[in-house]
Amino acid sequence: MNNTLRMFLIISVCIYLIIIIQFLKRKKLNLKYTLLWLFSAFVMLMVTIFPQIINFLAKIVGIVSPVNLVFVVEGMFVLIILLSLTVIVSHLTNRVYRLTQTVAILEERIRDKEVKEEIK
Amino acid sequence: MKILIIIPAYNEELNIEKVVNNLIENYPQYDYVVVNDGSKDNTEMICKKNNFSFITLPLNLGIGGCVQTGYIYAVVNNYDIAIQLDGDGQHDPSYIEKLIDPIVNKKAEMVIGSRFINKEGFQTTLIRRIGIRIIKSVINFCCGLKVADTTSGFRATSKELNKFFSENYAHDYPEPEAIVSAVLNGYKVVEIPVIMNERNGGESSISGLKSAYYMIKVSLALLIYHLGINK
Repeated sequence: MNNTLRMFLIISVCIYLIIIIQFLKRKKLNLKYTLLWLFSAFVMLMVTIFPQIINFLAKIVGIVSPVNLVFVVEGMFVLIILLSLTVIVSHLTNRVYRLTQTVAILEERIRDKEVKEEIK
Repeated sequence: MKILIIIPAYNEELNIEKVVNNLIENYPQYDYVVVNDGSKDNTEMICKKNNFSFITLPLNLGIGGCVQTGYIYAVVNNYDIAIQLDGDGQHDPSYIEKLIDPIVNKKAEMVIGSRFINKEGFQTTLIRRIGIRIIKSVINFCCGLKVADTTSGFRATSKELNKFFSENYAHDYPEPEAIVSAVLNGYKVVEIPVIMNERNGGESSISGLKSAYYMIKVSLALLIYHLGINK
């Protein structure tokens, strides 16, 4: 990795971090769901500051140009984050179902009570 | 013995009145509840006007979430048996007695009304019969049970199974999955022959391209169940 590319990557990651922190500050992001994003930023930062890591790893997995490994790692993070989003959405779906059903049954009970009171 | 008929209804303004009035007049020994799955038509108005017993879901959850609401209602109100009967008039309530018989006699926890045992009455389209046949072999592979009418929504379940379904029930296309999850969790499932009518109106929940999605989704879900339980 040459120095120009490293500068570019460091600046990009810093902007990315600032955006995340801004969102956190304005409470538009739940910290729980941001940990993965922050972790990926941290890894990218480490890798660009200490390119020896990426050179070493690239040799191990057989990637000729180490910078390609940077892209691969980035891609993997994107996949993991997408997967975690699907997990979160599934969880939310289940909760919405439960909530809807509970509300509907409560509504029926209230209606039932009101009808009985009217008869009295 | 307290028996509840669960009637899932989505946009059934044309049929629901007839179906429910028939139950009230001819089968007063059973309680019933219409579960209106966030219908966009007048299903809710009709239920209100006629003073039917009904639950209205504020959102459209699909048949799985809709029927599950019925099971939750059965558990909350302490019913011994719950029967699912479609709101479109396909299912003839005169079979209910036969349907609950194995549960009353403690021979089974789940009874499915099958149109394919005696092959009488409305048999649905060829394409669908093929689909049902494929699901049948997947179910047989997953839990070793031969069920002829895997997608029949005319079924009765015991108190224990109501409790189980009120906690675990597939969201969309739940009928085949319910069979497999019941069997794999140690409940006994049997089938009895019934004659079904052609639906009088409304639209089926599965049509066109959805059938392909249906087949893939159901088969996959069944296989995942199989893997998950046999670990």
